[in-house]
Amino acid sequence: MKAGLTFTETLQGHLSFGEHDPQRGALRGTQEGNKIFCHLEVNVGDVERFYLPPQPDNALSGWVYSSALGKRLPVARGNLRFFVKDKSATTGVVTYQLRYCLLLFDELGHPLTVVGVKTIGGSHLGRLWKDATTVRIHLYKGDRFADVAGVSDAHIGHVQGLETLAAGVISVRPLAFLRQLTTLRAADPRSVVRFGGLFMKRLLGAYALGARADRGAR
Amino acid sequence: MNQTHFDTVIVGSGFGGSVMAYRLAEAGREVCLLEKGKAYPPGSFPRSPYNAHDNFWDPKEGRYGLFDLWSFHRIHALVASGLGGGSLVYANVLVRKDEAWFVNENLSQGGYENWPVTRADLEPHYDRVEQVLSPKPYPFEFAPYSGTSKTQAFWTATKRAGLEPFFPGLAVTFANGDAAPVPGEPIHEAEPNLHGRTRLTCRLCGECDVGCNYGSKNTLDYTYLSAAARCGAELRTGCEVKSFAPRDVGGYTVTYVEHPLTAAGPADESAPSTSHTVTADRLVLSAGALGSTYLLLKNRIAFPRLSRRLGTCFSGNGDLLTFVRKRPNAQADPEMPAVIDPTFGPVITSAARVGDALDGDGSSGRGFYLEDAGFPAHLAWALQVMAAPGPLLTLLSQRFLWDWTGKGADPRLPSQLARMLSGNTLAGGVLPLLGMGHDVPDGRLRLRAGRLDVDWNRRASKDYFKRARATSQRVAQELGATFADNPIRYLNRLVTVHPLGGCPMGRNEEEGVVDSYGEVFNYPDLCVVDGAMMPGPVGANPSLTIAALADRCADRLLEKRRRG
Ligand SMILES: Cc1cc2nc3c(=O)[nH]c(=O)nc-3n(C[C@H](O)[C@H](O)[C@H](O)COP(=O)(O)OP(=O)(O)OC[C@H]3O[C@@H](n4cnc5c(N)ncnc54)[C@H](O)[C@@H]3O)c2cc1C
Ligand code: SF4
Repeated sequence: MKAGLTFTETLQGHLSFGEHDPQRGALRGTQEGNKIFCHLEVNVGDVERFYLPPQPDNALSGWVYSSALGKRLPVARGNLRFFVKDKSATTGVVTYQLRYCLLLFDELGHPLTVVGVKTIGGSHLGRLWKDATTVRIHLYKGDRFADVAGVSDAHIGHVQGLETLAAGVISVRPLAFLRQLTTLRAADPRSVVRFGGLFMKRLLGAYALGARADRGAR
Repeated sequence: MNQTHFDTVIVGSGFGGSVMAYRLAEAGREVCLLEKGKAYPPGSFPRSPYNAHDNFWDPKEGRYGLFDLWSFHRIHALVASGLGGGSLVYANVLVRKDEAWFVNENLSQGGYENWPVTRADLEPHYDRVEQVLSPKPYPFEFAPYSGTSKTQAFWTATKRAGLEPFFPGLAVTFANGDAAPVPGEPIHEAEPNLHGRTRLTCRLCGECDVGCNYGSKNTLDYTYLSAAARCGAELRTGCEVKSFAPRDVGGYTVTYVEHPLTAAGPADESAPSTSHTVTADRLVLSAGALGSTYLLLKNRIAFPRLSRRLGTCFSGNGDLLTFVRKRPNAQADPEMPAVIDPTFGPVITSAARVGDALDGDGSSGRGFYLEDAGFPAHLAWALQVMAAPGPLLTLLSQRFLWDWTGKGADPRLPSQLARMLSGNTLAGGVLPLLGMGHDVPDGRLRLRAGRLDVDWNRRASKDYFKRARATSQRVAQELGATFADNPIRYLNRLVTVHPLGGCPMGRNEEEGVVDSYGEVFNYPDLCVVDGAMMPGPVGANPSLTIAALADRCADRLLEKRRRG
């Protein structure tokens, strides 16, 4: 029998409409006061296989609030993929990504798709905390869930007809992270330990690999 | 069965929407105009203050009235909702925008406004609009018009203050054709108006700002909209547009709710609002500067390639309302009326222009216009009623009478206003002065928690407001009057009746949301044609310029269709 687990993650940050680059979007969004707040429940289907493709069982639910979008928008469909391997076409650096994908409907019923990416590895261990808590986000027009949910950074540029609405950065604040740990729930307590272990192993592994790549470059 | 596909759907029936509706319908296009407010035939504008709150637009509370008050942090804007938009409550003044005020600043180097059109571009359109709205100067040379005390006082005082007063065109019918003006005569119209009712020439009742119950104002419902209806345009009232999106096959889908309005009466509360959808090859947003910008911000998810300039260039057209109070014991002055009665005569009859550094004639600073703003006799009485604690006071103190710092309401304001405006405490009378002009359009409209709000840095326009106040004060002195800065000081900074901008015109999408023909960059056949397209203040009263730009947009749209 598969052993599942859930936890809640709250992320907040800034985004800006008409912007394609998350860093610039966050900067502009801060100036413009365009906040975004995500309250997500992560449902890991199988703690033994949660990081292995195709990971269809890691569902996301919850809501997203942005001052520019109006009310809290419930997540209509959501999916989180752990440790998706991505190789930069330009630098060749290998990273692992946690990819969030959400389908929302705004107050008026217009659909939009949110893709969020945590990039892990590809640099030194000192960046772990920042990497593991920072999510670059893009908002796309329409219901593109099926088109983007399984796609890595290297390939998302090739998705036909994807129209970017906004970009920005959201992150888990330290306190929110501590609270997040208390939200871990599983039918079998051993699942939590097992999940934590596998997660940390993959996480640190990503940096070990990054460090090796660093040395290789030198 | 109602038709559901049109060549053009127009949202809103103000100056932008009405001109577009007529021009397109006249050229044979199938036009559907959706207006959220009611139609107001003669005699239907309410007057009693006891149910004054029903005269506000607030659908959530079941109110579908004429006045639509938007409360923002530090500024409030008053607009109208009804068939004919702002023309129903406006003061009829039609003035062309000064040639030198079509400002060209470099936006990437700290400039605020850059007009992609010139006065010369608009000249033929001004002419064409004036033919329909027929502005006429106030016939002050004839009795009983010559007895208008506020006009006499304004002329004498502004002249003494070194200004040059003039009679601007008023879109009011004072006379039949070339006959001498006579108040209260039936107007001979070549073709019946859309209300199918007889209009009367102006009766000088001073109620223009709360709707003319005699049909004397040449409002859009009697002019452009009647003509549009004759050409087959479908005018749907009580229809509030909520959302729209591009269609895959080209064109747009528009969703609106139909409010349960009876012909011109109160809402039928038992009936719910119903939702409808129509489609169109082209969509024209003419819901006013606030309405159109709000609609685009709300629907932004469906329009990812909208310019980042959406919401910018907001200004209140430099509105500044001050009150001049004549001292009852002032010395007899042969050139001045003994008593100023601001309730006699149309709300505005005269204007004086104060120069601008851009004029190139040695003037310095930012220019403006001063006008004699009368008010209806019943307003003073209405305010007295409002000053009593009651539901309206609560409504106003919540929605309207914030302290200008935004910290909270000043509950004393209605009673102070009432005292200010009521005749018995003011033997000498009071003359409100409305200033408007070339302020700095640095406001930004945005959504906050889903509601429209404005970020506005008043400091940029500080010198402008200081100068306009100083001039008003000088006029007050010449009147032998006291300058009533208090309590209206709050209002000075508080209320604009000329909100402009939000979807500014530009030469490209870096500069503006729409091009100089109102077409939205990256979205062909989606247009914004109303006060929202102004990249800065008009300076003078804006309606004529909005209408002229609309006429120019219509030309382009029809030309494009012919070629395409
Ligand atoms: C008291 C007062 C006096 C004034 N005096 C003068 C004057 O003397 N001279 C002058 O030039 N200007 C004057 N103005 C200003 C003038 O009224 C406005 O500048 C002008 O009406 C703006 O025209 P517009 O086409 O931009 O929009 P509006 O005239 O505001 O029209 C917008 C219309 O769209 C409708 N609408 C909004 N949202 C929706 C929606 N979602 N669905 C359907 N319909 C919608 C509204 O109900 C309204 O009817 C005055 C204004 C006021 C309040
Ligand atoms: S003064 Fe009275 S009658 Fe004349 S236009 Fe104004 S409201 Fe109508």
